[in-house]
Amino acid sequence: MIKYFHFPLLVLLTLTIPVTAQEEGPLRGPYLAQSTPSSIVIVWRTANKTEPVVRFGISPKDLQSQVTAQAIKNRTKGTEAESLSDAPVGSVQFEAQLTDLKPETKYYYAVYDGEKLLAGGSDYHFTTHPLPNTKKPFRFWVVGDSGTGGTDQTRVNDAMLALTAKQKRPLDFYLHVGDMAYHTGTDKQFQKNFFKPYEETLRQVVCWPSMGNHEGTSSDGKTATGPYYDAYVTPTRGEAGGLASGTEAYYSFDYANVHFICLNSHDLDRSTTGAMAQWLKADLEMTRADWIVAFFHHPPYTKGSHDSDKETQLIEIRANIMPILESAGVDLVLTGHSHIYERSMLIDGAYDTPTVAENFVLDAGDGNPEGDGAYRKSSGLHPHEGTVQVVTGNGGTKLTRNGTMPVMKRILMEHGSVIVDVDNDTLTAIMLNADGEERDLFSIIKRGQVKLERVTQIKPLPPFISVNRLANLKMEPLSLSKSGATTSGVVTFGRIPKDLVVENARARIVWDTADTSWKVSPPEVVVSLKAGETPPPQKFSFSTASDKNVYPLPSARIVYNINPLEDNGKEMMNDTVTLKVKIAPYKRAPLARMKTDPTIDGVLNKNELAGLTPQTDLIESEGTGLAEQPTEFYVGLRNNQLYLAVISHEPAMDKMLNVEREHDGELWKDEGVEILLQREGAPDFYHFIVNAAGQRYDSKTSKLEWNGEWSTAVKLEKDRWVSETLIPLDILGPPLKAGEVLRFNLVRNNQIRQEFSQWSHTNRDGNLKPNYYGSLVVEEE
Amino acid sequence: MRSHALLLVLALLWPISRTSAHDSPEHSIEELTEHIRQEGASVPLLLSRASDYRVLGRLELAIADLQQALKLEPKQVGALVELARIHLTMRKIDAALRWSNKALAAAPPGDHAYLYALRADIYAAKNQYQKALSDYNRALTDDAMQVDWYLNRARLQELLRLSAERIAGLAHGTKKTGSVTLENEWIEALIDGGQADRALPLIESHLRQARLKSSWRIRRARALSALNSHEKHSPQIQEELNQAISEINARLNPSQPDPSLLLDRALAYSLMGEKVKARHDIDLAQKHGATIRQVTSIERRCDTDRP
Repeated sequence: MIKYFHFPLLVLLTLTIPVTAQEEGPLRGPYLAQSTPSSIVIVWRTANKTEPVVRFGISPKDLQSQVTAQAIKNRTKGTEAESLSDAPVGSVQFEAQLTDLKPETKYYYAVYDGEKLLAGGSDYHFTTHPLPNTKKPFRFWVVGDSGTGGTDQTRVNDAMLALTAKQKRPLDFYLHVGDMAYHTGTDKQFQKNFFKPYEETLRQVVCWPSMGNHEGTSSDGKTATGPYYDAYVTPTRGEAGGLASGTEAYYSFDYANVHFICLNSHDLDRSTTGAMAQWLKADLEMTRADWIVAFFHHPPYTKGSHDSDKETQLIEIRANIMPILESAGVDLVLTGHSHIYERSMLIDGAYDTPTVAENFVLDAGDGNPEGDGAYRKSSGLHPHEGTVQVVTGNGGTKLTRNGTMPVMKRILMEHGSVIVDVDNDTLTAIMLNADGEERDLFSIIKRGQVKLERVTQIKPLPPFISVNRLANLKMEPLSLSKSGATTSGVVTFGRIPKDLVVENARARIVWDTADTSWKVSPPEVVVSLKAGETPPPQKFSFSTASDKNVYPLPSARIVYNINPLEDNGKEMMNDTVTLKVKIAPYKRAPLARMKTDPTIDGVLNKNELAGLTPQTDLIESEGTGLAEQPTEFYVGLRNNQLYLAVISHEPAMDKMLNVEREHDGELWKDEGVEILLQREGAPDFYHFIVNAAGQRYDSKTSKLEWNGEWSTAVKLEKDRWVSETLIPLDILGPPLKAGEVLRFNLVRNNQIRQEFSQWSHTNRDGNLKPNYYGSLVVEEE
Repeated sequence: MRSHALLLVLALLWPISRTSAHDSPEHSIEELTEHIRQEGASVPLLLSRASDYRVLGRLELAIADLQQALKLEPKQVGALVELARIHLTMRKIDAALRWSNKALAAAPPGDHAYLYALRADIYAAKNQYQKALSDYNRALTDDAMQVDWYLNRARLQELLRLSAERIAGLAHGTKKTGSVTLENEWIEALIDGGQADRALPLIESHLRQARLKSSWRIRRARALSALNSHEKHSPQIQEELNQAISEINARLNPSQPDPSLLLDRALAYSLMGEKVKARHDIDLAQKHGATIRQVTSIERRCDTDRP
């Protein structure tokens, strides 16, 4: 039985924790959810319990109405079914529903702790939905696979903000088609990779979400629990239009004359007899909107980083769900998952595997009113008059293409997002890239009665030549000095495929040093690519003025201009590949011989630490820089035993929560430190975890059946916790000799702040990578 | 606190997926294989690779990885659950049952509801409906918010001719979850259970609101037939069904018909007494991907000429 218990021991009960600047305002939000013509939900989180109040009104200076604590749902991390699954301990999420609002009306709002303003002002406003079937022009933003927290995500967001500002045409709402919080959709990743980057947008418009596979790592569609479901409030009983699904995992809502449907394509039954498909059929039967837009994560048609001809989820969506949607008149399907922008022609009935275009295309043009002309459909909802499929998995993460999907009209390897404008009988969508350029545009006009013929001869897009794995980057070890660090790297290429027919094909290697301390020389190189030849290697030198913290690292983007967009080859397509920069381990420390036998009791004394050098500067596991919460450790050798004292600083010790576990349980989920050891040149490595409750985990090269004879003790203090550990090194074979190297790493798991850090950074390849461990050099006797 | 087996699997993947590239499953398999080669096999690596193999439909390879993971950690609930699910997908029912029983024995009580539901599906695939029903009852006792489970239980109750239990269970599920899927199934259950008089006003209400009316017209025809068994082919019922068929015909893509619409049409034909046409539609639906469950469900309501 797993039990949760709080750590505050008697000492901690008397603690007074200072209110930090962060704790003054909300930890998250306020942001908006589940809007309708007459209501909206405002969500925010605070670090501690407060007396929640929302005030709102039609002027920022006159917030006449209010919702008070009694009517506000509050959720904390705990043991109740309605609790938050993965939020900072002690934090509270408030969900306030504002009701009796007028449709299409702009309201301002502010959130309070009693009388104390937490957030509000002229930027905090929303506009209620128009009544269903109103012919009101509106705009929505579609983003997929954005949640890296990186620069490409920011550029995509900035491009949207710049365009909407320039056009003075703000968003009415936002759809996210999944993968909004890499890598595993934890609460912390939601905060960093979703709520923070989109903070300004989210306080003014609702984001209607669909769950991606990365959120699905920590959230569960079947039970609708986890950080994804904590973050959002979505309809379960048809609150925003459409029919009641009974779950937050899939839902529908109405906006003006469009019916929107969100499905869970990740972890629910995608069969036609499943509850989701049954609900979908029922929901489609009832809607009387002019348009239907469906959105979900897994695309029915793609050859980007995923292949819809090979992968089960994508095949099932195409074979089981698309027939239901198309027989009810769906107009537009928006998806992500595949890290690319792909946009189809006007298609219908392409359910086979592998996908073919012939006989399933109703309009083979580009849909651009200034090109081949807008796609035309009859007024209202009619079955099988064609759907446009948009895969917009290009919101921020690495882009990949593996082929050409035959039903596609436009394929772009550029970061970007989709902005859709609906005006009565016309829907226009653009792909806005991260540089703010409009790279695709199509319109659908639904007017009168249109007779559509199936196109039998499709002119396919040019074939795609894959260069994804053409280039490699090799880095030399860092050279550290007091003035900083230097290294060098070389990008090598494989042989260019013989079928490369495009003239002036080239690869541009661009180094991105944004938010780093690095300089790379040369910052940019253009390499000419010739069919059947191997381009010469390109050398780069790197330097940073920082001698302690070389993270974050720069990144190399290689932009290939290799594939023609049109068959005349005039306009070439960008295919961007980001190379992983991996730094060889450079952390090195002496393994001093101790003068006295240590006492393993969690109490540090001068005699024990005499002659040991303190080690600090743990690096945040994502490589974003030094960890915010300091960790200090001392390591020494006594009678062929490794002594390790770790001081884990943490001002909010009262928020420490841990789980009673068996030996070798999942201690990496706790407040704890991980110790990793390998004798240089030996095949096995050893993994020890000590949590703040003093519980232990050990394994030998990931094999749990190994149990070592080692001792540890933990002491909790006011603003830190201390562990002492003694590990006999006979597990490594003969005693270590002077000058010998012990490969070593220390990992700290700070669950309170969801901060994970490593002494020797393992290049985001996980903790179990001995080749990235640092070195402890055994001192002379 | 609720915990779930699937989350256990995924939680184990955390140290790996934190680092994995956002690539295709093939690339991910390549990368994981390299990790395994360098570091040796570990439970998280094997589970992660098994998951990618499953996405690609390479189920035998997924099984091999999961079994290897169990050698390292014999009570790894996630691996046991995955093995049960994969064997069920492969229709290796006895093996699926064995793995699900092992998963139930190894899992903490908080995960039992999901595992009972999984085992219920396995029993149902073995045609052991009573055992399947019993497991669904247990699952829903532990977690009363699962729309799919109510739906599946109702199908079992239909097979076992437990009409009153089916009606009551669906009513309870509808009340609990608000799901329109369960409400619609409840209306079907009322018709099947001799309570067409209760169903009819509800059907009339839905029929008035619906844009696409064929499924509601068919339900209406079923209800009217049940209420006037001596006038099964009355002009009113025939007209209702003709209109339903007409709407379905307009919605069918000629070369790629939606199998669920074909099955609706089969039911309409059957109610009209057109057994051959009903049979033809059922066969066509199967050709276009209708599942066995879909077909058997319709066949129970249809009077067709079997080939």
